[in-house]
Amino acid sequence: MRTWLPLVALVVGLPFVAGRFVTGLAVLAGIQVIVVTGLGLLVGHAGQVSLAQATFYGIGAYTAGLLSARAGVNPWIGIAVAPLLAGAAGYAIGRPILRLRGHHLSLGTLAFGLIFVIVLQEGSGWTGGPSGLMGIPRLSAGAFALDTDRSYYFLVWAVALAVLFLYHKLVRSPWGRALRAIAASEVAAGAMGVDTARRKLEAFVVSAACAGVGGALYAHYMTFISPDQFGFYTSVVFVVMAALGGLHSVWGPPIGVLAITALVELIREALPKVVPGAGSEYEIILFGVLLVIIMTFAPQGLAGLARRLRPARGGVSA
Amino acid sequence: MLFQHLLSGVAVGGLYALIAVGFVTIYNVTGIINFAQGEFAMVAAMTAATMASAGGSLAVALAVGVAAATLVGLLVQRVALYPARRSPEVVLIIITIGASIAVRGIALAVWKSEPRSLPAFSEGGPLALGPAVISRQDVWVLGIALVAMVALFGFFERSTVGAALRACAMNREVSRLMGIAPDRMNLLAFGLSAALAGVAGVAIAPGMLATYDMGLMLGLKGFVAAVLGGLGSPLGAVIGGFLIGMLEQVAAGMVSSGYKDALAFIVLLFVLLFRPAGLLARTAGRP
Amino acid sequence: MSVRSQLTRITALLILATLVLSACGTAQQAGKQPTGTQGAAPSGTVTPPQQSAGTAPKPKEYVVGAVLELSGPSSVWGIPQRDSLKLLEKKINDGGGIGGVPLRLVVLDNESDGTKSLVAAKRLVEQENVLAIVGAGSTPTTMPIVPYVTQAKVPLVSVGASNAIIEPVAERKYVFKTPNNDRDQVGAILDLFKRKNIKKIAVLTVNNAYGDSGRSEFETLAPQAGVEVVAWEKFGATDKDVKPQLTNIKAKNPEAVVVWAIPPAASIATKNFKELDIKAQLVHGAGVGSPVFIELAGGPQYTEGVIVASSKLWIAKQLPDGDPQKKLLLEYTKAYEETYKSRVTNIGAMAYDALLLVTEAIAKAGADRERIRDALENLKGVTGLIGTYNLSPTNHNGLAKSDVHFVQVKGGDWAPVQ
Repeated sequence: MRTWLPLVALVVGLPFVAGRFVTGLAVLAGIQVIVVTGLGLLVGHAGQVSLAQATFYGIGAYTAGLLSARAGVNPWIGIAVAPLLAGAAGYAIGRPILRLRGHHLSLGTLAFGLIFVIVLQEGSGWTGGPSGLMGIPRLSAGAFALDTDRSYYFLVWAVALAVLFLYHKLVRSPWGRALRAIAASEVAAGAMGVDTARRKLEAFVVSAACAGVGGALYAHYMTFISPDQFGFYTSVVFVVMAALGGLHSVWGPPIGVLAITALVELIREALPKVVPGAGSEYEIILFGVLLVIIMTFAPQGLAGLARRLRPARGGVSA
Repeated sequence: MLFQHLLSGVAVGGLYALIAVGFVTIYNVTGIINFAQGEFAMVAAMTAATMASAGGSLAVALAVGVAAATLVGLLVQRVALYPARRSPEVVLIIITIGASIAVRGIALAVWKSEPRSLPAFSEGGPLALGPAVISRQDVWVLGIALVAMVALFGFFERSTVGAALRACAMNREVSRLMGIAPDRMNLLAFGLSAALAGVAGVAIAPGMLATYDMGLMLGLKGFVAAVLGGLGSPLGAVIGGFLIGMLEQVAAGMVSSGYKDALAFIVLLFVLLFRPAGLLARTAGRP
Repeated sequence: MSVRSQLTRITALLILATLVLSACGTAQQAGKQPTGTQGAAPSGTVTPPQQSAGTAPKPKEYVVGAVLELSGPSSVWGIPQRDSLKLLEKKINDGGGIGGVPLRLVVLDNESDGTKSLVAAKRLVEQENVLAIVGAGSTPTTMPIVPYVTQAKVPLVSVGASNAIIEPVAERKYVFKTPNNDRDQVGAILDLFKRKNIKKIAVLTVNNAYGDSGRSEFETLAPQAGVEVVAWEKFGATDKDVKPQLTNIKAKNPEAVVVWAIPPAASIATKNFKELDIKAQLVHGAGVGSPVFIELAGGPQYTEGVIVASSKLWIAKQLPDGDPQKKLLLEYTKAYEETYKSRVTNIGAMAYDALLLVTEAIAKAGADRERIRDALENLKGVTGLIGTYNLSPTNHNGLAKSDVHFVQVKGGDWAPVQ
């Protein structure tokens, strides 16, 4: 409980302290926390490097978008259906793909991700194709419309905190321990009686469902989505956030998202003063370099670094 | 019409073959899949295009392009992979992803996003081959790919260094015992693969226009070709490359142009899931 | 204390630090103005409730924002757009400003990404307090901004091509655009075919928002014009090779082939077209955008005879002296080529026109977003680079089919087509 109180207080207090613009940024950050938490579970705890997180994000977004904009369904139903559909897709994709190991798995997920974007672009009849899907309605709770950044912020972060809490609980459960055993050594875990195939699939499905929720929230925030937002680069950004924050820590996802958001804004503000005319290419370079550096020198990410600052004194590390 | 598609595919196939052989070389020697392979081709193409438009001879521009790609390849190995050489595979995968992104970002910073063109290697209109036509540049691509294969074959079979590389690919531990330094072999493997990718890049640039983001697709298709041929075998990679090139063109022409790219990835998934050893399964090298 | 609570504290500190930094950044940028609610006082003005622009005390400056693709895949367009905007800003300020008040342009990069486009727009409105926004440069980066500016009541003039940006008009009160409607372009192309007695054509479109829009217009308008489309093909924006699709087209023997794409895809298609030796008239949509298209296609031998549905921009010198746009076109071309050492593009010209419309509206309405919006909607007879604009509450574009002009590559340069 002590762990969560300051965090919740911060989250609740932010919109009243920071300006409207930062609140808007925080909405996007909250959505990313939801997605990256799922990824952290899969990559960090189950040890499966997925390059398709943006695909499930996209499935969630398009589900919510199509249901509400094209089929006129109540948006809240869409938000509930999105993780279900994304999870189902995770199951369908995961069953065959998780038979692969290591880089074969990563490349398999990458292939799926690319196929997904192409399918979105080609299916213009129902997805809107490359022109994107527009007219996605904003959410409203009864008469109260959630169309300001502040109100949407609270919704998004309520979900984000719930997801983080669930993650926390899952990681400590026997299920979570089984996942970690698989990440450490799949062979050994199998020898100890862990049903590795099933656990990996479950992690994949949960991860996909998280991304689905995030995608649905994103769709209703932007009111317009297009295939190029759900491609390989987006998946990579999610991986960067998970890795930077710390793949093995519950706090990794929020730390990673925050750090990347702050870094990107810093680059946008400060860099043009140092290097005239600098643009987003430096962001790309930064992400690439960050990935290499973190994985080489600090594979536990920022959360791991924080933990190393204080010597462990017993207890299960988050 | 089918013949035209096949013919167009053969040239593109030579390109994929070159990149695929690079993949296989690195994989056999170091055991990792190099995500940045396509980026090496991009660097070569962009460098050559920049040099060519600055004036000066085409041949020099091409050579500089290939050299630039080789340099980048060596750098990536030494700076990004070598420090993490004892890390688990998961980490190494993410590192090569990071390296490829970084190279792309640097390319964007240096060259911006305008497409660059390279003059064709020889002037003149397309050549007719029966009912179909093939552009002169495509003939060049094919020729260069074949020459490169032959040279590579000669290198691996006839030279000491080549033999050392092959030994390393077959069995690292024993090679080390025989006095072959694995770290140096890793570096060499990267340099060689990058050079191959570079040749592919400059060969294809006149026909296709070079952009900073051309690397991803090229690399992926090359990877598919390598997997198709069985990751252990350079010959398989070559055959895989031509197969993918032709399949793609036929699919685009006869099935649906939109799904053309998806085809390569569907093939990849198919192979990974059902025949991971590739169409030409070999027993030598890593599984 | 346990590891967990230490970790919590560190996390909390990190978050706090980030917030403080961001909040500081926000405070700095917003200056002393309250960011406040929608439609609040823009910077540098005292806004008396019902006075006309003429009698209100003059503001210090007019601030106009721009959201453009300055990096990422679409920056090949965004940079000429920014450069054109800067030219107009300079021209206005050299001439004493708008009614004596200087113009200040704030340009933000959306990195060719829809989400970042929205963030940039918010920054412009909430931190820079702009009077209006020019942008974004393409449809997928403009659409996310549309609901936001509608809610925040900030006029937006986009340089994106799709009709969906300004339609349905009832839901787009604050949104305008300068590129010709695809409907008008396609209509003009079909008229050209009728004049040349061309009845069978093929349509090759790039697989993105722009290409899709062109394709659907052809689907609707071609039958009405009595033109038969014998082949419909698509290709990817990053495809390096369009030969399979062109091979299919060649087999159907069209009299003309329409390509609806942007560089570099447009150039690759052109080169492949000549390489496959297809004997038909090649017509491009305005997406070609730039004379560099000729070089990218491999040079004049690949592009000789190609027709592009464009504007008067590239044939300005050949216009009769009485043409109302000639003076502005030549002036813009000269200034742009001297300042930036590069050829003028339609894409840059569209951005120029967008800012031109905004400044004309400011001249009439002063520093009030609502009045600027009203003025924009009623601008008539504004001579721009792409055409002459006549807007109305039901037409937030202002151009007509007659503003589409065809140019043809002759001897490596552009010549008008009758």
